[in-house]
Amino acid sequence: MSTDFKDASARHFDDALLLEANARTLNADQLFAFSAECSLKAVLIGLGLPSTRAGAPLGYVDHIDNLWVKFQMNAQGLLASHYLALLPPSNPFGSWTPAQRYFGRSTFSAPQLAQHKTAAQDCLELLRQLELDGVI
Amino acid sequence: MRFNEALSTAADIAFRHLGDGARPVVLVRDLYGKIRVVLPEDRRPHAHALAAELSAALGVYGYAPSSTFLDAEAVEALVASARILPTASEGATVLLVDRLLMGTAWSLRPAKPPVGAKRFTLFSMKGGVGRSTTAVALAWHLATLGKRVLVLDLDLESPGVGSTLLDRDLPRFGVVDWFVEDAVGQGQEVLSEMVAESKLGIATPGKVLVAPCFGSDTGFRGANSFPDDLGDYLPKLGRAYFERGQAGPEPFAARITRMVHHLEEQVQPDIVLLDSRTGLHDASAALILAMGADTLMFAVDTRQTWTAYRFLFEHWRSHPDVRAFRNRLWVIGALAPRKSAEEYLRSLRDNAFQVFSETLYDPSSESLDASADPDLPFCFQPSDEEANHYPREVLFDDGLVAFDPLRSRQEGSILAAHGTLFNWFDRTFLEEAAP
Repeated sequence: MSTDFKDASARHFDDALLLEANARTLNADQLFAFSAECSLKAVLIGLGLPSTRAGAPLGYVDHIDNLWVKFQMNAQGLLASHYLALLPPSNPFGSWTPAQRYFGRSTFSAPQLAQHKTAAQDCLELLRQLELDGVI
Repeated sequence: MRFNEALSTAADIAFRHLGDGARPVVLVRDLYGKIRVVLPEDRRPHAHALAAELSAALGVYGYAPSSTFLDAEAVEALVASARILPTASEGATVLLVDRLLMGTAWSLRPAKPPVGAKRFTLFSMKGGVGRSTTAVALAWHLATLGKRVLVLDLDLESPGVGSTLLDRDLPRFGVVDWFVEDAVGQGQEVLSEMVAESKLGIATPGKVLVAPCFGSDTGFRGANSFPDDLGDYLPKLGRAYFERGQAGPEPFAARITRMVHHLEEQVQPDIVLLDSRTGLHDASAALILAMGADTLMFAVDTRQTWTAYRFLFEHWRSHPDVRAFRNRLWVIGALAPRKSAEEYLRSLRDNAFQVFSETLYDPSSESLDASADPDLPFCFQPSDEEANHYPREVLFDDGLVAFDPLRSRQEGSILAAHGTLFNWFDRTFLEEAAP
């Protein structure tokens, strides 16, 4: 199967850094969001959620804005809480929408980019911990 | 291949391929007990053979050859607190990064004693040995000496001293409230309403201040509550151990240290007594290791007690900083029967000595390595009254059964049971009594 959330998360993040370094900021923002989404989906599969035929975690076919909230709402128990603690209680993608891919460059927000980048980094850290723990 | 065997097997194989005496071999054991190896850059030529051998030997406790290695960067931050594995090979150092779901706190770097208030942790392996009773007694005794004492009830699953010292005169909030509110950045808001004064200290020149597990507003009350209802405590208890503080991810030990620090700033105590949870739990570990406290370890002379302490002390033998905290552990001989006190205490002392001498004490003939404390070797004679293993007795007293000091004056019973303990405590820890 082609789906590999962990790998996708890493490549989106790496490319986002490249874009950011080259002042391609709106697209960098998009990719940080994709990276976070892939990280969270990898975590969900790792925590034992069944997956659809396409490899997505069952019941979590969302974009990052809703995915973040759903993940937080449903994470409980000793194992999931362990990793939930690595993420902030508020939704860093609260004002993000999938429609941003259609927006013009003038809509760019530097604070948003910084926030999304940090969130994507937190999610990668989450993945790293799960990997060390042998959960993924 | 079973759990224990997997570790020794992995250590041997890894050392054979990678060991060179100049640097340690690092193993990482995951939540399942499966083992991987950190591969140094210059050992890449060995990778293929090593991975194949490990995979074949470890079975279910190994990884596929392609995922057997982690690079040094991935575990850099974890190596400092890795455990040193005793190995058969000469000159071999094997470090283990052990990923645990619970119990990571037993490997914490010990904290130095804080500047300011002296902290004491009261800990027992088993319940019902009089730990909380002694916490109350000690708080009262120190108040009679004019001390300002802060007592924290940190036995969240089995709240004790808070109620004993305050009865119904609870503050609005308790320790669980701080943990819950702090996780969303509001810890400061409950801090000022988490401490109440105990009537126990009223007639003394000192003060006994108490931070209980729960306050009057902690429990959630639904519509049909009875007047005596304390509400539902469990939703908060079930969130207290969340390892996140207001600034981000934070181990439980760090959170509790921060809370105690804020309370000390607010209350300005001379002495802080931390009444710990019973047994081998992270919450207890945090209080023993992360507070810079001296720990009073309550022991009754039973096989279960020594087995449990032995498990802990054996674990600590591979703690990289055991020398920094082992001299702050003090055995308290609990519930010593009046009639045959001497015999009981002798047996307790001998058992305590055996455990200490086989785990934490230095063999008397051992020469110190350069990193050790430059003072005398850490070892004692069995009968040395200043030794850490030497049990300071608390006598069993009828008057202290179902102890309720706010209802009936029990100073006689308290003194009868704790006279020896109080003398030792004052002599050892209070500046005025120091020679």
